[in-house]
Amino acid sequence: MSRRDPKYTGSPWEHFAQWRRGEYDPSAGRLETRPPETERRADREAALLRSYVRADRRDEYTLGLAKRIGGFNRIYRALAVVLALFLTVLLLVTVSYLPAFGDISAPENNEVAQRYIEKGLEETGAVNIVAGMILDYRAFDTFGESCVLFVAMCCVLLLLRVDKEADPHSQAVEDMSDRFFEPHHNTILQMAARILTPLSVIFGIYVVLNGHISPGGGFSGGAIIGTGLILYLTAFGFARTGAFMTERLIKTLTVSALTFYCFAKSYSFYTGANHLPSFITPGVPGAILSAGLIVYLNVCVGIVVACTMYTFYTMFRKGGF
Amino acid sequence: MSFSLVRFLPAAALITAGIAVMAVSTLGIFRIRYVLNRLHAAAMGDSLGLFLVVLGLVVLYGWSFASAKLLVIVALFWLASPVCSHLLAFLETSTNDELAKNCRILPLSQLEAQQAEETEEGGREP
Repeated sequence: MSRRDPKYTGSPWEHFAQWRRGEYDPSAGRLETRPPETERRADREAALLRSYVRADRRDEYTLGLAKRIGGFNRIYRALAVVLALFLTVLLLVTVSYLPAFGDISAPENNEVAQRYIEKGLEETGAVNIVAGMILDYRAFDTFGESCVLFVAMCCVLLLLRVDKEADPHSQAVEDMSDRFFEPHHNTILQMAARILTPLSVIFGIYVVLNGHISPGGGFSGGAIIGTGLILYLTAFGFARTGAFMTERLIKTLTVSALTFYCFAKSYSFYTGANHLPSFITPGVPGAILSAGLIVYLNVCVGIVVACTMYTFYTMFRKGGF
Repeated sequence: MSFSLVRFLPAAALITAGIAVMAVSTLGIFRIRYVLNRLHAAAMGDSLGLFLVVLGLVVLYGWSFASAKLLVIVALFWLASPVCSHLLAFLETSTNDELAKNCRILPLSQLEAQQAEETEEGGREP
């Protein structure tokens, strides 16, 4: 019985022989191996050198900074505590001066409501008394609400935004899961969105512009517009809405709406409180361009609400515009 | 009096029927265990139940701007609700790995053959 293959090609014995000769490494490519001592020492030295350089740069920066902000830090903490205590005491003292809850002699339980109902139409020009209240008598409160929406939008942006440049891998994963669950080119959904999106956006604009005449206003109208945008986004994907709803547009719209609201209402409050003549007049109640500033303020609030809804959706959906 | 009764009785019948359909669909949503069957139950209340209630209200209050608005709401529901059901069912069938455990799956060729058979039979009958 002669052997056809005297070198035992491919058999364990041949591997063993090769391993003895140093030609074959069974763990190559399968096992994490320890590099030779010389390479490791070189690596360590290079890493040490790099960290020295980095530390030097950092120290140059922080030592200079620490000299400047070391004292400030301590003062800052003390001042923060003092400010918090001051605000607490101030609010508690204010609360102690308020009339008891449900007190019949408190102005909010008789005079204020009566005045809103009896003189609201005459003073603000809004047929919808609620719009007259929230955007004229209590416009400052509504401004706060709009700013709360803006701050919420900023917080969601900070927390949920995926940084594409810093972490391309996570972005790819997000895109893939998005593509997996997204109804891509779903004809039925696209047809429904083609019909419903223009209708809902137009209805939203109608509700915003008629806020002082009929029930509705900036908040509800803005929510309807935002819903239309989100429906369009769901049906046609981010590429189509991203073409016009860019980050820049949302930023510009929101900030300019809030700024306009702030300046317009400051002017109105200033002239009203000082009994100065103002060019803002209630106009003819019931007309579309009446009720002084309420129409414009409704538009501002509507823009802020629509942008906030759209931003929330995009952030929670894939963490970017 | 009699005229208002003529209006009131069909309106009441319609609204009662609508509420009954809604009740059956709600019962179905809680009673049925599988998504696709639940979708079927929910869609019934959304389409027929809502339509019957709105029709009853329109009959009760007569033809006005408000009743036109109610009919627009029905149209919106009839447009949006099937699309939502379709999307939910699509997601369920495309992501559930154990779909065969819950429902019978026909291969597309068999389905087409079955449909062709049905249309042939329907064509033969008249």
